[in-house]
Amino acid sequence: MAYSDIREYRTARQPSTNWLIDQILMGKSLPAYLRSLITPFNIAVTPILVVGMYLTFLRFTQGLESTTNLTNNNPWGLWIGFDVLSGVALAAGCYTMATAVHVFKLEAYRPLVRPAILTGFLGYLFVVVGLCFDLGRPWRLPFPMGVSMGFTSVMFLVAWHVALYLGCQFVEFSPAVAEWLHNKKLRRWTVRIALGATIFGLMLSTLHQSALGALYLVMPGKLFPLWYSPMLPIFFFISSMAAGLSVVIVESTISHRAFHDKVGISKEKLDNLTLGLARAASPVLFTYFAFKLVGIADGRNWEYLFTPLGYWFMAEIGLFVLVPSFLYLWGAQTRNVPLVRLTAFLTIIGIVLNRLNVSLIAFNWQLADRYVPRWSEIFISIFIVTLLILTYRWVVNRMPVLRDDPGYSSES
Amino acid sequence: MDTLLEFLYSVKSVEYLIAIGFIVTFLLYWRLWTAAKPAEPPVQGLSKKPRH
Repeated sequence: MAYSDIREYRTARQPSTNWLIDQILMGKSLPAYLRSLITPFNIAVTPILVVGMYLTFLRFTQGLESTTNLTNNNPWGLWIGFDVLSGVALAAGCYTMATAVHVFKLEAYRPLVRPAILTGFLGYLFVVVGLCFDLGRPWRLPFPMGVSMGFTSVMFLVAWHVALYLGCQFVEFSPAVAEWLHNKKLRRWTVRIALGATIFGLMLSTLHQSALGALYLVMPGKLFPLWYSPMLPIFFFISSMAAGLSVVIVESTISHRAFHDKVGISKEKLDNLTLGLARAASPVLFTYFAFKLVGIADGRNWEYLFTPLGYWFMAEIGLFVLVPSFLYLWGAQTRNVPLVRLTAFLTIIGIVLNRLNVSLIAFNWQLADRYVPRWSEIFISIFIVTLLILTYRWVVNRMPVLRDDPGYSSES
Repeated sequence: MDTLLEFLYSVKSVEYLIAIGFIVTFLLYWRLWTAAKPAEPPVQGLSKKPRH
């Protein structure tokens, strides 16, 4: 049955479906909503979703061999290097922004907190999805929570932290969900516990960002000496801060363009906030650069610099750490916002490159049997990123993320 | 004194070069950090001190 307009549709349905129409279908009738889904972007991502679902079916029914080049020598591949290690680092915008605003009271940055929390939450959620692809048997994912407690394993720590931090991020984001549900009582409660969740989340982030680096501490013989250091956990933590700030810059820029009718701040204000973030990210990157040098000095590994992998290492910390550090500062000092945005993009590439270097390129460097990801591994990673983008868009289109809900704008 | 000399002799030339390179880079960074000021105050609300 076709309805000519939304009123007729609502009248024809039970009152309980009004919520569904308003909040899920964005006030449109089902046919109108389905028609609105036919956009160039959706058409472009449909093949990715179809092939991704087929590969997912293949991986979970035929095993790792059907979709990956993983072997006993190389049991960790692209899904760990990109989806997990890079994904967690890039989701660090949540703890950096939430701490800046809720703990250090940098109120000017409040408009960036909710998008950062949402990006972080979805980032971690899809890290878990990526991990399921790697581990298989997702129903055993909660095992470290109670069935098989590996107290001496770094992976046990990471599992608990990611699970707890996902909960914290959901609590931090829940005021937006409560506003979406028009539930004032629930919102009051969620706002009250959000600060506690932020502080707890900061502690968890400090520990598990570094714990991902600590995973490689037990493999000094497998990792190329320039990337291996007892300070790997510190490297991972410091670089995650720069990654988080850079992701917030890139994400706020894209959101401002893609959802221009939903953003609550002007372009000028966003530019000012972007410059402030650049001024924060610059010393973080410079400190990271200095720590990397201390790491080499500590192991006295200077001679490795003049080897093929050594040149690659110098390219990583030169082009993607030191240069962005200067560019961020230069961009902030000269108020060059496009330069800052370009630098944020460069920094993100650098952090992803670092995680791929540690987990794949400089890993098992002495083995003849080197791991090269199969196309299906790369495609599944693209599939997961596409799902993340679509989920982000779905939430932003419905919940007050990029702007305050007018009904709550006077409240904190 | 002997220990210091022993240490200095043990340091390789590449280590001296990188140490000097890092100091020069840091000085450049510090100069950029302190020299130029943004044309406008970056973001209101960053400092609790009133701006006059």
